[in-house]
Amino acid sequence: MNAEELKHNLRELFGQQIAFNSDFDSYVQIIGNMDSNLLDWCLMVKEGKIRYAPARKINGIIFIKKIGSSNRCIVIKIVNGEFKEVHLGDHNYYDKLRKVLGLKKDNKYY
Amino acid sequence: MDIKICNLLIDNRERIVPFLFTYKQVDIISRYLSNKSLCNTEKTYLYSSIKRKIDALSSLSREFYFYGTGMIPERARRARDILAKYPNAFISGSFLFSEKYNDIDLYIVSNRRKQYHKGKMHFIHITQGDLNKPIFQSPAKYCISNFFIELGRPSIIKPNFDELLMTYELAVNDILDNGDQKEIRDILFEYYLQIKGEVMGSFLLNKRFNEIKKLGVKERINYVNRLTKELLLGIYSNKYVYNELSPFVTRLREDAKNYPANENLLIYIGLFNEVKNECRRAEA
Repeated sequence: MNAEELKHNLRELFGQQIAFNSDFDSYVQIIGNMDSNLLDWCLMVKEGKIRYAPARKINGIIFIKKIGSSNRCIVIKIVNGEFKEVHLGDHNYYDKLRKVLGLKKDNKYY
Repeated sequence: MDIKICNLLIDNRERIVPFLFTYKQVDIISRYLSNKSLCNTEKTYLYSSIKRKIDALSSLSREFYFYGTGMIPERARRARDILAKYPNAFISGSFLFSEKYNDIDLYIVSNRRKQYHKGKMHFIHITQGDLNKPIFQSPAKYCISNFFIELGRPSIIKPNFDELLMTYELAVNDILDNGDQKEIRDILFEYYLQIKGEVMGSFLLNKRFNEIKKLGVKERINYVNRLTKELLLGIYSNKYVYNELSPFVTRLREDAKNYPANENLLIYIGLFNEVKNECRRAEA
């Protein structure tokens, strides 16, 4: 499945308001055939079957999935019951995103 | 600073002064070795020009330093081959002790920080000052290096409250989902650092982590709960923890009522209530 198809499927699932991070397309290629797992996982998120980690300072909830050993992760945010964002990236991007969301104070490494 | 080289210099001072080192420099090295006090000017001199010369001599010696035991001999040989190409470097991580490994972590002490992957190699450039950070002291405690590693007192910084809570939550979720559970390792590392004041070396950390992973789900959750409770009570004030957790627990209760996959939320509520009660008792 290419990036456009995956985005199309995710829009069908979560609604047209969903936004993707800028590197989403390139990471779809990197995760390769794991994207079908991704769609299944998103479906389970929609059905409320996936556990989330609540954050005190965020108006909404976040779901995090580790993909593969190099820790590429996805974060989906819900604001007022609506799915807003899907992010796909490597561990560095995940760290940066957590900092933006106030879930991480400083990068432990640098 | 490479103590072995320093001792060699002192033993051979007649041959070295004044060609490589001045009399004053050798005197400072001698007093440094015998832990005698140095004035600020002498300290600056020691850690700038003298240290650079000693590091340069140390790199010529082509010696390797082994920190830790139980390394796989074949991997240790490979590590030495790699290290021969890079000055001031060390190799650490699962490559040295585990049959299965993802990449080879090569730390290079230089002036700039950067990191990148090249095939199986993971290059991590750090500065000399970074060796005081617990996150780098951990791999340096179990490694093969081509320079003498002198670890100073680790700079221990309190973790951010929300980051600690998030790590705990992800650890519980990962235990329930039977994921890689790497967050347990983060909590374990933080626990030893903050509560026991120790930097856990990467080998010991990995060993302990694998032991915990063998426990049943309930035992693992109890273990993570215990460490997190001690961390919350040990590093923040009781009043702060109580005030921060109270509204959060109220929110979690609401979430647990409305969200179907709430097994994890109930575990968080249980722990946070326990911590809150402990804080209240301590304040009373």
